[in-house]
Amino acid sequence: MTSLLGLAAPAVLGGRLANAQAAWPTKPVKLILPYAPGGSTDFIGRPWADKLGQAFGHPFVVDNRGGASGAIGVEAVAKASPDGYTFLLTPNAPLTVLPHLRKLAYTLPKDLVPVCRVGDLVCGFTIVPSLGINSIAELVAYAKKNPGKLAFGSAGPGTSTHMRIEALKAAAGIDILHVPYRGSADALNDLLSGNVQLMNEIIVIPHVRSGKLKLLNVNNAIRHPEFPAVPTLAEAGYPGIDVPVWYSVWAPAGTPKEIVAAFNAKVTEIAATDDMKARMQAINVVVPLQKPDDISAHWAQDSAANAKLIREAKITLD
Amino acid sequence: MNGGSTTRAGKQQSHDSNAMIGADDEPPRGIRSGQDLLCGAMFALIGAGALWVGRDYPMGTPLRLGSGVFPWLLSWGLIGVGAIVFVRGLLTDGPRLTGWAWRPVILITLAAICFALLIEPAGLVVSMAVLMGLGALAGDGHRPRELSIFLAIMLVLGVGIFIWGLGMPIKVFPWN
Amino acid sequence: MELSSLFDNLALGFSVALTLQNLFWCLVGAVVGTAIGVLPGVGPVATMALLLPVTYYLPAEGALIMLAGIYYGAQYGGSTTAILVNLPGESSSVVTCLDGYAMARQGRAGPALAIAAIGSFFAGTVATFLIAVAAPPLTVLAQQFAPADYCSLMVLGLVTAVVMAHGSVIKALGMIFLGLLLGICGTDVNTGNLRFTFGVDILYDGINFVPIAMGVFGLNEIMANLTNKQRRDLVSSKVSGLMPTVKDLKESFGAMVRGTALGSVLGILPGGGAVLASFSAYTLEKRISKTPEKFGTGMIQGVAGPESANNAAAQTSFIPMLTLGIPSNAVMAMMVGGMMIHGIVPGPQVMTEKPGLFWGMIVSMWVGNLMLVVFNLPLVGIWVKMLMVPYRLLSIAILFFCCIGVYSLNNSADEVLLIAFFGVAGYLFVKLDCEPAPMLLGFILGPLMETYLRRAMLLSRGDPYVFVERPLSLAFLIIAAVLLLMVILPFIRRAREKAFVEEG
Repeated sequence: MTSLLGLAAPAVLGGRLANAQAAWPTKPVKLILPYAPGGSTDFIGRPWADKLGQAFGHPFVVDNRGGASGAIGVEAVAKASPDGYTFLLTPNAPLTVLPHLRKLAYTLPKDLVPVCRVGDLVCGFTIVPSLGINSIAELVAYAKKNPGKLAFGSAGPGTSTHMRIEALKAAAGIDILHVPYRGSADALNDLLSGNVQLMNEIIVIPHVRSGKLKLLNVNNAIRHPEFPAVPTLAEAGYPGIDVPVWYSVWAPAGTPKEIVAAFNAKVTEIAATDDMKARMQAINVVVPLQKPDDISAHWAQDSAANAKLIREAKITLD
Repeated sequence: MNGGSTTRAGKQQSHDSNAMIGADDEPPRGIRSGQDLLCGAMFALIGAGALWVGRDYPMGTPLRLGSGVFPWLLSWGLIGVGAIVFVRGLLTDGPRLTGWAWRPVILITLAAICFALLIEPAGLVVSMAVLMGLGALAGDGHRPRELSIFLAIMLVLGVGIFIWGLGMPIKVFPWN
Repeated sequence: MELSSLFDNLALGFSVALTLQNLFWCLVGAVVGTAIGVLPGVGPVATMALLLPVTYYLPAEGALIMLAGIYYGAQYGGSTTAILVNLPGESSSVVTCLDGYAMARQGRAGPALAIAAIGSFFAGTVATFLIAVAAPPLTVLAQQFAPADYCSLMVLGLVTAVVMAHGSVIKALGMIFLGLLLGICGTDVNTGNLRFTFGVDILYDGINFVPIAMGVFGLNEIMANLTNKQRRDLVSSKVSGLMPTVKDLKESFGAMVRGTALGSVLGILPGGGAVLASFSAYTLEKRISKTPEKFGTGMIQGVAGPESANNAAAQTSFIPMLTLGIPSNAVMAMMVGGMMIHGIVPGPQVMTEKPGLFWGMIVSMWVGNLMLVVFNLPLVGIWVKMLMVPYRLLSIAILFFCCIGVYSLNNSADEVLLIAFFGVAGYLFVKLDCEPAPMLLGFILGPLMETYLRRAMLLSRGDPYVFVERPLSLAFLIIAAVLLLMVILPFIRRAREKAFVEEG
C-alpha cells in the first residue's frame, strides 16, 4: 500500500501530463473497489472494468481493497497521484454515510472528483412471513405494540442496509434492535432462520419469489417491475428516505478534466449497448447517467440527508 | 541468551554447526528452565501490553457487548498463562534456552523486507534478485555455477508464472 | 427424495457434465486449481477473482464447473505444499503440516501425498453423493444453528486445539490466547472501532491468515533447516517407497471415514467450517488412537483424517450456496459472483429452474475429483523428486514463493513485511517450545467466536443463559468441558507427582 511505501508513487506528472491527455490511456488503468471480492460492488464494477478496457484499448485492472467499511480503498484513491490511471468505483456509503460517523483520512469534495454514475441498486424491506405482517403500516403498528421485540440484520454499521431502517425507525418513532453482520449473506442466513426478522437488501429477491420472505416495499421512486403490487416507501407513507444504493466512479482531485470527460462519455456510450443493458438488468441494476456536476450535487444532497439522520437518530458506531 | 558471554569464535561455531551448542553452558543459579521463564514472560508481557493498548476500548452493556470485552478477557487469560509458565520455570527443571542462529534469521528476514520495499518501485526482477541473493547468503555450501543457473531459472519462472500466467499488476523491470 | 428421481437427476447431471466441452472446463479448473494450490500463498479466491471476468464468455455451466474445479483442485494442491515443505497455503491444511511434513522428513513423502489424494477422493465422492441425496434436509439442519450455538461450537473448536498440542498443554493454551488476540486485530464488525491497529492502515482490516501461516511455518522452517545440517539432510536423504503400503491403507481407512463424516457436517456451517473440520478430525484421530503420543511424528492417520475432512467440507460448503444462495465462505462468494455474471440469481429456485446446471455442477464435482486423483497419484513421484533439489536451493525457491504469494493476495507490499515479522516470531516460538498450530486455530476462530458471542447476547437481549438453554449450545459446551478435563486431569496429576518426587 502506498501510504507506508511512499516510494511507489510514480514520478511522472508535471509537464508531461499535458501531452499525456491527448492519448489517454497509454497503459493499464487501475480501478479500485473498496470491498473484498465477491460482493455487489464486484458484480457492478467488474462488467464496467471489462467493457471500459475494451473500449479504451487498455485493460482496466480491478483492485479489491477491502476493509474498514470501504474507507481503506477510498483513502488509497484519495491519496493516489491524479494522473488518470487510478479510479475508485464505490457505493455511496463510504462517501455519504461514513464521514458523519467516523474520523477518516479523506474528505469530500476536497480529495476526490466525481467521474460518472454507473448504477443504482434498488433495495426493499423484507420480513419473515411468520409474523403475519403484510405492510409497512402493520410493521409500524407491531413494533409500537412490542417495542424492542423485533430485530433487523444489516451488512454492517454505516452501510445502506443499516441506515435505511434507521431512517424508518426515526420517521415512524419505533424501536427495532439493530444486529450487524459481516456482509449481507451472513445476515440473510439468520433472516431465513428467523433469528432476525427484518432486513433491507436486494439479494433476498429469490426468497421473496419462493415465498420464504415477504417484501414490504421498495426503496425507490418507482415500483419494481416484477412486484407491481409492492408499494414504494413514499406510497407507504414515508417519503424522503427511499434512497437507493448508488454506485459511482471517482478520481483523485486534480485529475485532468479532459480525462474525466472522456471517461464519462465512454460510460454513456457503453451503457447504451444491448450487452451492457442485459448485464445490468440481470443483477437488478439501473444506470442513471449523470454528468460530473450533477453527481456532485447528488452527493451533497445525500450526504446532508445522512448527516441529518445520524444526528437526529443519534446513530453511533459504538 | 546463554551465549551472551561466549567469545566471538564460540558464537561462530554455534551458527554453523548444530543448534544444540550451548546446551552444556551452566544456567544461572536459581533458574531451572530458562525456556519456560522467557516463554512465561513473553505471554505475560504481550497480555499486559494488550491490556494497556486496549484500556480505552468500550466495555458496553450485557445486551450490546462493547469492543473492549473480548480483548480484556484475552489479555488477562494470556497474563494468567504467562504467570503459570513463568512460575513453572522457576520451580521445575526444564529445557534451557539453547543456541540461537542469528545468520539465517537475520538474512531471511532482511530478504523478505527488501522484497517488500523493492517490489513496487523496482519491479519483479530486481526485487527477486535481491531476495534470492540474500536468501543464498543465508545458506551455505553454494557452488557459483549451480547457484547462478538456479537463479536464472527462478527469474524466468517468476516472471512466467506471476506476470504472464496470473497477470499480476506489477512492473517487470524498474523502467517499465 | 424419491430414489428414482435421484437417478433421473444424476443421469441429467452426467449428461451435462460429460459433454466434451464441460469435461474440458472441468479439467482446466482442476489443473489451474492444483497449480495455484501448490504455489504457497496464491489461493483460490484470488485466482477466481482474476478469472471471473473471463467466465462471462463461457456458457454458464462451463463457467461454474471450471470455478468449482479451481476450488477443489486448490484443496488437493494445498496439501502437497503442506506435506513437502511445511507450508500451509490454506487454513485447512495447517494440520496436514503436522504429521504430513513429519512423514516427509522420514522419507515417506510419497505415501503421505498419496494418502492425502486418496482420502480427498474418498471424501469428495461421499460428500458429492450427500449433496445429491440430502442437500435440502442438510440445509434445514444448518438453519437450526442460532448464534449462541455457533459460539459454543467455536469454544469446542478451541478446546480441540488444546487436545491437538503434543507438547505442553499450558503453552498451547497461551498460544491459543495469542492467536485469539491476533484475530481480533482490525476493525470491529459490530461497532467499526479500530482495535490493536497501532495507526497502521494495513491492520485496519485485520491481519490476513496467509502472512501469519507463511511466517510461522514457512520462513521459520527455512531458518531452522539452514541452521541445522542434520535436520535439513533428513528432508532430502532417504525416500522409501512412493505409494502407501497395504498396512498404511488399512491404518488410514477408519480415519478417512471419520474425517469424511465430520467434514461433511461441519462444511455446511458458514464461517470456519473447513478449518474446524480438519482440526477436529485430527483431534478425533489423536483421541481414539492407541498411541496418541506419536501424533506429530508422522502418523498416517494424522494426514488421512484431516485431508478427508477438509475435502468433504469443501464439497458440502456448496450446499447453502446451492440451496439458499448463501455463500458460506469467500470462495462460495466468488461462485455466487460467477452465477450473477450469467444472470443466475443464486437461491432455492436454481434447482427447479435450471436443473441441468444444478445437477451438472454436482456431478462435475465428482468427475473433477476423479480427474484429480488420477493425475495426482502419478504426480507424487515428481513432487518427491523435487525434494532431491539441494535444500540450499530449495530454501531460496520457498522464500520467493512465500513472499510473492503473500504479495499477490492484495497487491500489498506491507503484507510481505508482516511475513518477515511472523517469521522471526515463529523462530522465537520454536526456541520457546511453543507450537504455532493452536495459535493459528485461535486466530481463525477468534473473530468468529467474538462475533457470535456478541450477536447471541444481542438477540437474547442481554441474557447469558441463552448458552445453556439452547440444547445444541449446551451439548457443545458439555463436550468441550469433558474434552478439556480429559486433557488437563492427567496433566495436573503428573505435575503433582513430579512435585512430590522433588520434595522427597
